[in-house]
Amino acid sequence: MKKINDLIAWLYILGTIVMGFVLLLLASGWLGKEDYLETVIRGQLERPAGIITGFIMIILGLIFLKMRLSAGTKDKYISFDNPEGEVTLSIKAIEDFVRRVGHEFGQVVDMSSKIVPAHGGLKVKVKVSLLAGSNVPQLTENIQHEIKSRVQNILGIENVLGIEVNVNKIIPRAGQEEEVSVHD
Amino acid sequence: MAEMINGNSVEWGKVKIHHDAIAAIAGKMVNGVQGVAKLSGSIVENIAAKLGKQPKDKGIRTEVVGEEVTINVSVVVLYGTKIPDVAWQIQKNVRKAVEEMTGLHVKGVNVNVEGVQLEDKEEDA
Repeated sequence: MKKINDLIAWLYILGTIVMGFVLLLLASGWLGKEDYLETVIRGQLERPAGIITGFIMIILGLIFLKMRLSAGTKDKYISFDNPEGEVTLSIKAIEDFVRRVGHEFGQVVDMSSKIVPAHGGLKVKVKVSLLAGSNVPQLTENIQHEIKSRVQNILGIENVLGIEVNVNKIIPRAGQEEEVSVHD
Repeated sequence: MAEMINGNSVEWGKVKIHHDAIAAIAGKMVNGVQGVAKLSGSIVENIAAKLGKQPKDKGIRTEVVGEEVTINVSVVVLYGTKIPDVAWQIQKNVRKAVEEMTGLHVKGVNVNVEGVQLEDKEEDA
């Protein structure tokens, strides 16, 4: 449902801006000078009024765009307060941090991470590709422990609600057979 | 950014302090904190920097409410540093320097950590 709402909002913004531009170009005579689009489909909209309406539509579209973008960025930060002011951490920075923690394990070939802010804390979801021959339960437990510990101690986020590790691939070591894919 | 922050009135007239001056002081303090890789600018600031026009207030925003100033700092930190400690150090240093050098009251210093950078790499998160 959220995706449909997002799509409608973006189409509305785009439509408003494009229509504003078209109206502005028509009314100012830059486009279809002769009939002024049948005097804006017989609405008898005078050129000055058309120019003003076009401007207003563009400005409204840009205002909606800014509101949309700033609403989107609010979700992309985790914040905590201290006496000197607010400290915010971008989700992207946390995801990158988690990915780098994972890459410190020699058996981790590739890792992607996703942070989900929830109830005053966060959930960490990672997808990993491991080298064949790794003790998967032990390794994933170590990864979970290390991520939790670093997020708490280095990033200062105490409330780590869960760390989900999905092993997507087992990559053979050099000289072994082809990779094994594991699906969720 | 042509706005000025009203400073104290002195015997011969009023002193106004430009936002860029506050940003320059704050920027210098932030760059001096161990664990800070760089100040993080907006898309526009980064494009301007690539075109050779380095903004003086890159990564620093100042907001004035009455006689108080709030400073927002966006940074990229080095991987492995304790972010709460770095943030606390930034806040402490910026507040102290701005208050001492301008006489303005700093209401708060907000720190936004935009990325994490490996020490030996130029590119951030």
